[in-house]
Amino acid sequence: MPIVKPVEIRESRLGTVIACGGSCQDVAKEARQGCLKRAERSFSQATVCQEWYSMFTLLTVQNSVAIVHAPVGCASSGSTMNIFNRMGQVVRGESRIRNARWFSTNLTESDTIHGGEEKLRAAVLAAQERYHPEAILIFTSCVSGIIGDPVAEIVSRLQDEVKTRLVLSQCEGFRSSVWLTGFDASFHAILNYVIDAPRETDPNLVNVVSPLTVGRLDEIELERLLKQLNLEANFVPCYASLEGLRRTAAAAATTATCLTYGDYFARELTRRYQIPHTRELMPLGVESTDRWLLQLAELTGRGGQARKLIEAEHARIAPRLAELKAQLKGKRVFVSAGQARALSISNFADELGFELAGTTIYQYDEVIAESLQRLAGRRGAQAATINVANVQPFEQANLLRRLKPDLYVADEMTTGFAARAGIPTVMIYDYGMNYLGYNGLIATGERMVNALKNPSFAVKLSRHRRLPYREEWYQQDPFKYIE
Amino acid sequence: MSCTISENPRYSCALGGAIPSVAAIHRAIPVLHSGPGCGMQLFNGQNYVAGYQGYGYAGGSALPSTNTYEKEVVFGGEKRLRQVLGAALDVMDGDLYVVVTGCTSEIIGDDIGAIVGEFRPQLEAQGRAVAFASTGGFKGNTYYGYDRVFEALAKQIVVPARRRSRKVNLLGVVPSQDLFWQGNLEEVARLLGRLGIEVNTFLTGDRGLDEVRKSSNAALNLIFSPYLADSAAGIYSDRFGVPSLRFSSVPIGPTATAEFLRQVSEQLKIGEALLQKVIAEEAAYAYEYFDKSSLVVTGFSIQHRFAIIGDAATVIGITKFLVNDFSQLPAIAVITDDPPEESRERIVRDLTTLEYADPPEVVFAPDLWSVHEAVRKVSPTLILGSSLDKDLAQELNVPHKSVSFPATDRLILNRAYAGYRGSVTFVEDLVETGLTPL
Repeated sequence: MPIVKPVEIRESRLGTVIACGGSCQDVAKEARQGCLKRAERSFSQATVCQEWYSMFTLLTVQNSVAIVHAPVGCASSGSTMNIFNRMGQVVRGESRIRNARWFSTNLTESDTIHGGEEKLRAAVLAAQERYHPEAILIFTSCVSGIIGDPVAEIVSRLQDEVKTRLVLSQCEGFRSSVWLTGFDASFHAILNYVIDAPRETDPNLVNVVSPLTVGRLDEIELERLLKQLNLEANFVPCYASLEGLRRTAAAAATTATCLTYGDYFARELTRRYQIPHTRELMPLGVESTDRWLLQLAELTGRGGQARKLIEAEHARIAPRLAELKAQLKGKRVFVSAGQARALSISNFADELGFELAGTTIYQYDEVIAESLQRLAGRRGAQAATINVANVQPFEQANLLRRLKPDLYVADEMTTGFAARAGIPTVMIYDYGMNYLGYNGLIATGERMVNALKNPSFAVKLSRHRRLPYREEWYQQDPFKYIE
Repeated sequence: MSCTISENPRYSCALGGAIPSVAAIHRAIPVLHSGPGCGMQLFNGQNYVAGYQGYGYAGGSALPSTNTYEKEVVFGGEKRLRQVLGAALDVMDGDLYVVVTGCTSEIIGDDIGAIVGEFRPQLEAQGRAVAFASTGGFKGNTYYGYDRVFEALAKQIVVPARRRSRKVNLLGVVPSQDLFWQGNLEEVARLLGRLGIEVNTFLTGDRGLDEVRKSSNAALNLIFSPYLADSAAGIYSDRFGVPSLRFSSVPIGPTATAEFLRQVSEQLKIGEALLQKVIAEEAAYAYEYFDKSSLVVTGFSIQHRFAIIGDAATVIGITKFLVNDFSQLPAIAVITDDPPEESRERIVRDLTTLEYADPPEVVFAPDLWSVHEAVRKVSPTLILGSSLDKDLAQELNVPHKSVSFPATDRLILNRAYAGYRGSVTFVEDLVETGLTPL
């Protein structure tokens, strides 16, 4: 087996930045002029590394075992990912729920001196002997990288010893300040270790690249829409079989439920197998779903059908959307999420009728360039503040104090902090809820209305608990530490 | 620490243990000098999966962290630590800041002590304090990280203070790794309070830095683990003359709790009459509820040959209660926290010197495969373990309850299994496993 080089990090591939702040108009203008440069923070809070997201991308692949080549802590979130894994099986109607399987090579102090090859070999052999999986997924770490374990070479040698397909993701945390690189590392692994040959094209098959945070209810909504265009969705990589991953080479087109997630895989399927792909961020909100569907339909020669479907869907949801819009009118919303979701949710300000107070976007690059420009042109987003930050809730706490939004829409990395600040919250990804497509917008709008209807938990929590920041901090420029 | 590979490990690393150990102290703020992902990896892998314990005051994505990248790996991380720690003191509202290190800074060899020392005078003048603990993940597991934090506090923060003859410090309970740490510490403190003993748990209540500083004024440290807090106990003894009394676990149920209260009373010279009164009243409370449980316990004939899987302290505490007070039969006890060799004899002795029944088979195995192989062989009728053992329970078609780390199938807030009241709660949880389908 040839030795595979690591994937290019997003900073150099896409010029991704993680530190910036200002008004929506100003940030959009700077972005337009190409002036958003790599800035750093002289104060920072904990974030996520690419190893975490690489593992999160592949852990639910069917009949696989993961090996994290690292000290024991770098595999500890396996239990967190297993929550999604189990929930996904419940929603898919599995009668026997199964844990994900992950090993740690448990690198210790002496391994940092002598190298970890023997342990990696032992883990691969144990995984094969215990479970006879179809694939063994191997993830590297800061420590394996710093001590210089030649993991790609080791894996290449080990593949001669074992029958199971070895799949290596080279995802040392310190190599990239953009955790999205972890997605690319995983897809790079699928492309180089799993998909081995082109296939004859199935004109009705489309790849839908979809992260674990997009749940089964979202898939059902997208299947409903695609079925009306006579398209079959091949959802990858979560819960996919190796055959499902290989079958991506037979698709007529590729799309993603989150372009940020699927960008590298979709581009590479185009480059390697001439399979075209869509560039809309997410089918989240009416306009985005329209664009997502139309792009996919055009690529597969179904443009006319799609326009009819879109028209019918608009008519179907119009009455309920109007009701929601009336209830959300004038409410000020703050959004915090990864780039695709943050922009997509912010962009439906005009659709749901709320006013955008501000958005934390975990990272900015060309993938969301067009979407940011669209946002800057929206009536409901004109007063918004944009914070590009790999979470950094201290900046956000300062902003929330100034902006005083009525509602906070984000993931669980920060919802609890907003609640402590007295702001009711809506969660944005899969804990058994629908977000995507036309039905997803209605469901999301309903959750927003419900959260506003009874904010008692957050309101009263904030009277008794406080955020861990000094009062002086709230008086200062929220972007003071970006330099 | 075990140096072999591990499937579905049931602990994280030294840094993973250090973060919640600092964060649980009132207004204490861990400052991570580590790679970019350690903070969230370990928040998810430690707090989140311990019955969904929250962020804490300054945990999760709010943890200050240097997030060291390639530049620091190549040129060293001292400049970055100085920058982030300095800013953390301006932004984060705390009394005690503890720098905890990850693998990267340990490997590149940053001089953490020197940098922390630069900030000490300024902080002391403000009534705040700073310390550091060396907790590189490759050096040990969650338990090791707890030990390094309490060793660091004993060395760097605790100062001599006047002895209080009826005061104790509680040690050896690792926040989040022990799912019921908070409720258990509260129940133990409540019981000791009834004997007129003042209690510093370090990790609950609102006394924080001040209490840590003056913890040298205790008459006794009580340690609830077969092996943890050894290093901290040594410092308390050598520097401050505070002895320690070690229990293998928090006491659970009337028998163990009475014995615990008796031993502490002896050490602190609590009057026999008061001790008898407290034990009698507390036992009466518990037994009123045990009697109430009897309808279903005797009526459904609830007697299990149980397998228990978890850290040594949890396994010992629950096994003793179920066997000595509740007529259950121990089939196997699997210890998953990889305790040091020298503590294993004590653990086996604790688990095999029970008042009733045949002693369980005792197995030490941190690896899921070996754990499950051992349990399958004894065909238990109940599995008390972590949520990772649900698959096995389903395979063997027996009930299961999560009592050890990780637990992703329950929310744990102030739930306690310790003491008298805790054992009543535990009986509810135990019996519920069989009633859920009804």
